[in-house]
Amino acid sequence: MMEAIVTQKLRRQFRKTVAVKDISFSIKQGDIFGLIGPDGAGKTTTLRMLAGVLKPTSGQAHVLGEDVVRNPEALRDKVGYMPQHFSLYGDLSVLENLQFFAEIYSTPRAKRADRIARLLRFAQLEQFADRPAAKLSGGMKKKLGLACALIHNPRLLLLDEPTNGVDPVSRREFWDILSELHLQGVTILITTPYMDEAERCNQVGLMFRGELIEQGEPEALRQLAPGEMLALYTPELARTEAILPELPGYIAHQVYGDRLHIFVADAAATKPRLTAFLQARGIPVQALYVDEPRLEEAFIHLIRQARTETQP
Amino acid sequence: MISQILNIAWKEFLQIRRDRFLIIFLILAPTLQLILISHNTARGLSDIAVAALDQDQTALSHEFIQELDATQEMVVRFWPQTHQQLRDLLDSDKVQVGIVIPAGFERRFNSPMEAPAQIQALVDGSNILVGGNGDPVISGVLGRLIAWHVQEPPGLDVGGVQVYSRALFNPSYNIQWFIIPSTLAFITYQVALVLAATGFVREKETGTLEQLMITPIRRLELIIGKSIPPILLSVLNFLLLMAVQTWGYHIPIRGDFIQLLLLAILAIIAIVGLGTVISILTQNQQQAVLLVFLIAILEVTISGYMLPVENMPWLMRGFAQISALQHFMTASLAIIFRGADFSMILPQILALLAIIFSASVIAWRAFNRYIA
Repeated sequence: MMEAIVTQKLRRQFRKTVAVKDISFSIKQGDIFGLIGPDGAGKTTTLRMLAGVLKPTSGQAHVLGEDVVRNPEALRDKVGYMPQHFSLYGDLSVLENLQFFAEIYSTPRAKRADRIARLLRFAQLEQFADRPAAKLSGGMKKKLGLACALIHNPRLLLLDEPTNGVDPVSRREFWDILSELHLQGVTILITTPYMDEAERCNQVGLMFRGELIEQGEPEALRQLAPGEMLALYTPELARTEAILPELPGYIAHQVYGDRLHIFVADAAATKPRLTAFLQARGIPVQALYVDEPRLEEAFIHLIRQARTETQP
Repeated sequence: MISQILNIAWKEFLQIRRDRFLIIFLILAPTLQLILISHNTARGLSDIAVAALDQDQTALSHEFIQELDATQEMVVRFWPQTHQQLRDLLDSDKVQVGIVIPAGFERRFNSPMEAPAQIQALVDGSNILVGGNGDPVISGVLGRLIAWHVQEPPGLDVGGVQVYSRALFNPSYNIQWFIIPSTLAFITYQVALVLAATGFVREKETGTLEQLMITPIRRLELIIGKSIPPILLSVLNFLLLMAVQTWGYHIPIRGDFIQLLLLAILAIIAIVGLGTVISILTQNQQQAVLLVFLIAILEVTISGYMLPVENMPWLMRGFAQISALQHFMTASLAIIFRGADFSMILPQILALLAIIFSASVIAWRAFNRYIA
């Protein structure tokens, strides 16, 4: 059994809105799979169906070999699920939350104390064991949520935007924990709005308007950016944007703060031409260099493409 | 199964213990409500201000006024000289009852050859408590006067019939005896309903319910586990209120206390079942509390708390049959005042069991739907 998750034409409709549109994909055991996409793309709905808390309208999904529609109960012991919003008991302490979930998963009493201690250490929450969960910082809450989702040693973790709204340091710590779990062979399906997190996954899927429009290794997806990329810093962004399409070899561009990412057929050849092109029009160039497209550029391109395709 | 249920129940207790506001609500609010309602309803019936216009000025008329003044319910405050003065006292609300003893009262009272003696009582009908209870007091005083003064007239056979009514089960016709046990049932009902109605919906709001749904816990375990704390707390609340009623207001329980307690537990389970249904069907605590409020208004009308079920139109009587409060109130009053035992309140017990069963089925099914 190599596939942790397999879906076939999985679909979910809420009245007339199709949240997830017949998606078929699979995730290998031991992968960290990052599901990314803009808000409302259907990531959470997909995750909830895979967790067995939401019935699909049609289609099939097998998680760890179990049919999520016919036999969601069989998943309970094997899957750890962390919903998007912090869903532990704020008025219970860190320790009480862990004890409650340990009891729910019928952790043998002999092993319970040991496992809770290990998870507290793992989540770096040892000195906060008696603090009410509601009084934890955002990052600590997420780590407690993860610890609770891990209490039964699940083979698959479903994490719905676990680092949303968490400071960069806590995010890094959270990912260190995930990396360790990954090394232990736990399969992880995580949704995230952060591209740097997507880069840390070994498989990435891009969802848009309920469809999985691309799936692959981050390296491969990066190549989907159109052509090669030039990074340009100039104080006159608006004027530059307006005249760029006149540039020979121009494909597309994206704005990032004070810089422009310009996609062209041949970056090395275009670079001197672009300098001349801008200077001829009186636009100062502060910096201009050939750069590797990141996942972000690839995704923005893919989403733009999908948008123009769906518009009549 | 059992350990899962206890785990859920334990978690609920931990949460309730941390909720200071809830604890205050549970102890203070019900006791306060019982005491305030009982006290105020009792006060409304004592020391009603009376004005007596005595146009007879005889020993008997004086005696009548003294007797009236001696009752707990009435105090004679004014002695107007004219009808107009009496009228003014009533109009200005200085008195709620006006008594007119016409001239010839004593003469007519003692003479079988004249038309019967009359007393005119003017009562403030806008105050239903004064209106309804002023009359029996005056009649009672008159009855006593008659009993003292009228010997059997020689040679006249009036049959020696002495008519007097006695209030069964409540010998002194004390309104507190009716108000307190009914109010107690109503408060028990409110507390149990609110506690249960906020249970699931709170977890829905925090998202913990979704978290629980992906654990191996079964829905039935969750429903039972979450119902235990509201049931236990409501029973404690009932015992607390019973203590206030028994030792604070000296209302005896004629029936068996254990049977009363069992009845209360049964009723509380039924009410918590209803609350759980509300909690599962609503989306947030605000909706749940508003729904509880709405249902409480309905139940207070159909339960017999405000007017007897027998006096309701048939549709309302039908609704009363599905009201747990109505059955609880009827049966608990029967045990407390009439000394009824289980065999006499069997219909109410069966009705409560039916309500528990229906609520469980609805709760379970509604819960399933949420997941789907």
